[in-house]
Amino acid sequence: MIIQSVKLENFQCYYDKKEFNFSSGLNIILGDNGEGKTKFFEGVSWLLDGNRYNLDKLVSKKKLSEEYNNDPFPVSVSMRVKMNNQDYIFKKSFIVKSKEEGAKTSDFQLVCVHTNEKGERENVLDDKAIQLLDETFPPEIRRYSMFKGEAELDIFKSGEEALSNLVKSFSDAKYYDKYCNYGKYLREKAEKAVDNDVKQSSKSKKEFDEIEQLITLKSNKLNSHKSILNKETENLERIKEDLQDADKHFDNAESLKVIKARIAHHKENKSTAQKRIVTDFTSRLFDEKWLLIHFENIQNEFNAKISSFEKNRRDEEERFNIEKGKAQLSKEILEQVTPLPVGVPTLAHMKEMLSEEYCKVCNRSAEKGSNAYMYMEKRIREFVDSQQPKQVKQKEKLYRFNYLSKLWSMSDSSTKQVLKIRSINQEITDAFDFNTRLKTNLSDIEIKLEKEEREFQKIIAKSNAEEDLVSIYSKVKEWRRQESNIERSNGDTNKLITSLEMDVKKLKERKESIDSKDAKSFLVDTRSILRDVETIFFETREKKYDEFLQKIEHKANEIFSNINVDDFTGEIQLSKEVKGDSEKIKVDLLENGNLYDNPNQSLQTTKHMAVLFAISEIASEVSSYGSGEYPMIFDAPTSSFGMKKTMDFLNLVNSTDKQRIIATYEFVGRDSSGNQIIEEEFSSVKRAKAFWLKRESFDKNDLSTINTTITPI
Amino acid sequence: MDSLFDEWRRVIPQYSVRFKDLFASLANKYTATSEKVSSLGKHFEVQYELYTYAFFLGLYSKTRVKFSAGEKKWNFSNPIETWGSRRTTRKDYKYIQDYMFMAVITKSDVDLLALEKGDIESKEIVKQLINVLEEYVYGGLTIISEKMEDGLNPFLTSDSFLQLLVKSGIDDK
Repeated sequence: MIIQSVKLENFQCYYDKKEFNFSSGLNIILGDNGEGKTKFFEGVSWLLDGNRYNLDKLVSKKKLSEEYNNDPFPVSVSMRVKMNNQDYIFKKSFIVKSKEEGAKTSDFQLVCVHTNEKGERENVLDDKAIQLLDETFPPEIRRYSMFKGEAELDIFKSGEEALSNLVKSFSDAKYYDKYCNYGKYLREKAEKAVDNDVKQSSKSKKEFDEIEQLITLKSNKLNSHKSILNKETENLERIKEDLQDADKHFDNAESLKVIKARIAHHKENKSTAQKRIVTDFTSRLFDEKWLLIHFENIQNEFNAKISSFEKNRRDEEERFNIEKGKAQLSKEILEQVTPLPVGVPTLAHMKEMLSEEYCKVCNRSAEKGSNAYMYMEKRIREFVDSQQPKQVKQKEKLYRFNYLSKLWSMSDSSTKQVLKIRSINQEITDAFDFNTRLKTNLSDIEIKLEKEEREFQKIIAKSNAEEDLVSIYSKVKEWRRQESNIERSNGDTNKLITSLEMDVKKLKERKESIDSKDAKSFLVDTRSILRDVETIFFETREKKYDEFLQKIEHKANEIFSNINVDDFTGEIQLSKEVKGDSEKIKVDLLENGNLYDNPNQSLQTTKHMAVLFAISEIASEVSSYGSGEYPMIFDAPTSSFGMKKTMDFLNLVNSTDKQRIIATYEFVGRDSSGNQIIEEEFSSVKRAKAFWLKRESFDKNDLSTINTTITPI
Repeated sequence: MDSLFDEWRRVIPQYSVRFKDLFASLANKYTATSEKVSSLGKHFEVQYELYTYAFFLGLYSKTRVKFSAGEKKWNFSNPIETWGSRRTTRKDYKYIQDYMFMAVITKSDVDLLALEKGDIESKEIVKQLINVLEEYVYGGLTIISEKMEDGLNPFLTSDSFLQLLVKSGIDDK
């Protein structure tokens, strides 16, 4: 069977009529989150298996708002498929009337338009259409054909149901069920006949009755304990699984804690190193006097210049003073007089000589008015004047100002700074060396930081959100307590069961010995034969069952070796686990014959996909509606893969040449303006067809503006 | 009597108006409240830092450019005596005034003895010294603007102005 097209009309975000035209082979639907991939998947699911409840939730909001109070409009999903050269169009639809109180919907109708090989066409409705749909795409195959998200791929997680469904649907073991039941019935009849025959013999009747009662009693007890044990074992398993999961998280949480501490440490070092790197070189020119780097020569010139000015100044001044001194001396020499000091003779002697008009120094008369008398009078005036405070006469100077002294002291103090100027070159070199060392250090820190952050992301990706880890922490203690309690009580129950089984066995042996003694031999022989017949039926069914599992395992490993892009060299193992009366299939990964613990999510997904592809192929071969290949539809099955691995995975799926429809958000990126683009890598993905889902520009707050468009790529 | 240094540093020196854009692109402007207007891509915290830098660059590379007759001048309202006063994140570098003064004295032809004698007025000497200052600044700014006109901005790294200054005096070594 090949799906040729799927048409959605006013179905959720698919406003008006939108159609996907598929090819056989790999069909890829690309779309960012919320662009309509899952709605496509839900549309197909609704067509195949959807019920009649909540139809109003399926209606396009855009159409609903447009048609408010207008004529009714249809909502439908239709699928055109081709099988054995016959065409089938299945269309499920209902009518909607948009009213004030909301959408009013009619019941849905399934219609099938069937065109046979001769081109004859018939239209069938409802039950007949459902029958045609089930014949075309059998429900047991649909169960293994459509998967939403990565988690749904593990179909065996739900335990018995998945297993019995699978066996019921596809294994030859199912044919032996009726023989097993019949064998059991015959064996029980034969046993009853032997029992009745023994009971008729009066000699052993009492003992036989007692044994039978005891067997019934002990068997009932045994069954009740077994049932308790089964339940408790199931609980224990669940707890162990939880603990195993928790251990993973626990380890993750521990690792996260360590890595987080290391990241914080590196970040602190990075920030310290960044802060210490010298970037203020221009400011340092001023603050650290680096501007003076070449100033020594200027300084020397300045000192020389000031020194020269100073010397010239002194020379000129000296010359000036000499000239002035010379002038004074020559005047005194010209007058040839060396006067006595003022005050010699004394004032009293002078006054005495004046009153006597006689000079007692030169011993001659000095009449009033004579030269000698006037000379003495002058000397007295000079003395009196000398005793009076005198105004200092301004000394005559060559230089009126002294600017040079400031310059001189400037020269003096700056000369002391020459050593500093000489060290500037070294200071700058040191600063650059310091920076180089810090930058090397910083780049080392950045490499370490990047590595730790990658590791951190890896752990986060492996576990749930970081916060979940905290809540898991608190549950682990309680789980551990429950685990040890159940293990203890199961140990006791097991002992009890063993002892009861021994009792029942002994009782049955006693009963058998009475049987062979008292019952007619042909009845005992018949019972023995029928017991063997029942065993043969049961064992044959088991064998078929195991063969079926081996077939899936073999096929899955074939596929796994093709699609496993993780270079994992191990293989998938399917094993049956019998617990009491229930059976379960375990899917494990083995490496070198040993269980491979903790495979990452993408390896798990690859494993599940391989098993599913295997089941799909086997299902196609043994379908009760005739063999044939069936498509598989996956919505975001490779979320944990990343782009590169998804690319490899899709290429491998493409090479299987079967119809697969895979929706993924990988390869949808954004350009620098924030517009959606398809990444270049997609051009390397081999496929039959690809579609790009995009919503037309819409208002986030108004769902009635949503409209997904389909662009074939 | 004020010292010649005091008189000189009370002057607001000027630069050719052709470098106004250079100042705008390389140095911050401060408002009246000393609030920084912008620091995006600015190497010099204040305009007189660029002026001072240009002076030393011109001085060390012996590039002294005279103003053309009638060339329009511009200034940034800070007299030399305010240059290098301590700011929040920076050291005080008023010492730079002394060194600039020594340099202009060295490179000028002023007759200090005539000044001491009173044959020439101090303001005339100050004028000559400011001229020397402005001419070396002109030289330094010319070097910077020529580098910027080369096309690629050579001042993108934090050490570019330091490197330029270090290289400027290499001929003397």
